[in-house]
Parts: sequence; structure tokens; C-alpha cells
Amino acid sequence: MAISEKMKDRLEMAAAALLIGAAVAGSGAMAQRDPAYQQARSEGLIGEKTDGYLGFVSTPSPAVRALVEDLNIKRKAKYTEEALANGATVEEMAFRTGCRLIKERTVPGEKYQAPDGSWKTRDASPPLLDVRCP
Amino acid sequence: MKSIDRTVNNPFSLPKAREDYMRHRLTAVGNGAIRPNMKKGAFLFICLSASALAGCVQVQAPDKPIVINLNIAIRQEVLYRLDQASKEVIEENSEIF
Repeated sequence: MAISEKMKDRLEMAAAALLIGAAVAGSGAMAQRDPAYQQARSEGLIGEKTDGYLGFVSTPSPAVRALVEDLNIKRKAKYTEEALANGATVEEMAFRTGCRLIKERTVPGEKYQAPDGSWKTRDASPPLLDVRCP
Repeated sequence: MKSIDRTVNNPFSLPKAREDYMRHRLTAVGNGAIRPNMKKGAFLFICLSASALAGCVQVQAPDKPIVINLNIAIRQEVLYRLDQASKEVIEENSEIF
């Protein structure tokens, strides 16, 4: 009896772990973003630049500026790590990730930077990517 | 200069006489080689100093920020190699992307 109860507990825990895992995987990255960041993206205040960093579409509020600068510093840290591990420059790593971010991570309504430097709003059609993007 | 000094010390030397003559021809004669140019030089000097007073060279700072293109360091073959790395960096740090 005692053994079966233990088993039951373990099964429940395993099920719970699976559920949590599924929730995290299912919701993807969108849920993990800071709500203020997600909001600024959705409102088109900020956008993905071609160089792999976030940029301001219009003059930002101090809060948005601080948020973006913080994220860009964190991004640069990650780019630097990966660039070192792959024998690339930080700019190359950032640029390659930027291609992917514009192509795969922007959703309709969000802003991205076209190769000519202008801000575009993502719609259902494929985004305008730099010719160097693989 | 040395040769001139030597000839100056000897007022009867032929080189000195020659030199005096040449100096006279070059400077004192109105249509000589140097005198008309001295006038031109003086005229030019006046013109230059006048224009220097009138037209100061002005350097203005540009209104627009100076943009430096950082894309020069990107190698195409490296971009292809970073395919997997870029995917992973986004997946593993999705909160900042």
C-alpha cells in the first residue's frame, strides 16, 4: 500500500513536470519576454535592425530606451560568446542572427529594418532581407 | 655669400665690378630681370593680404550624425557557418530576442 502511494506521487510529479515542460515549449519565447519589451515591439516603437540589435523606430521614452539598451547589451554578450566559439567576429554573429530574427521572429505588425535602412512593418509576405543573409 | 664678402674687401677686383654691374642691371634698371618682378611681388602681397582679411575659411560641423558603416567586417562563408549557432542563441536566450 505504502509503495503504491509513493509510486502514485512519483507519477503525479512526472505528469506535472511533463505538463510544465509542454507549456514552456508550447508558449515559446513570446511568453518569456518582458511584457514591456513585448508591448514596445507590438506597438512598433522598436524594431529589429539588420545588424542583430534592436533599434528605435521613433524617439523613445526613457523607459523604452533603457529597456532596449539593456537587451542590446545582453544580446551583444551572447553574440560575443557564440562568435568566439565559432571563429567568427561579433559583427558576423550578430548579423547572421539578425537575418534570422527578422525572418523568423518578427510577426505581422512588428517593425524591422530593410537593407536600405528604412523601417518596414512586417506583414504576411516575406520580409526584405539583406542580400548577404544566407 | 662668401665670394661676395671677399670681393667687397677688395674694391678694385674685377669680380666685384662685374657683380656691381650685374646687381645694377638686375635691380636698378626699370626693365631689368628683378625690378619689375619686385613690383609684381608687392602687388601680389597686397592682394593676398587683402583677401586674407576679407575671406576667412569657415568650417561648419555637419547637422546630421556621422554614420559609420560597420558591415565591412562580414565574410559570407562565415555567415553560412553560423547557421546553427544563430538558431541556438535565439532558442537558448529567447527572452532577449
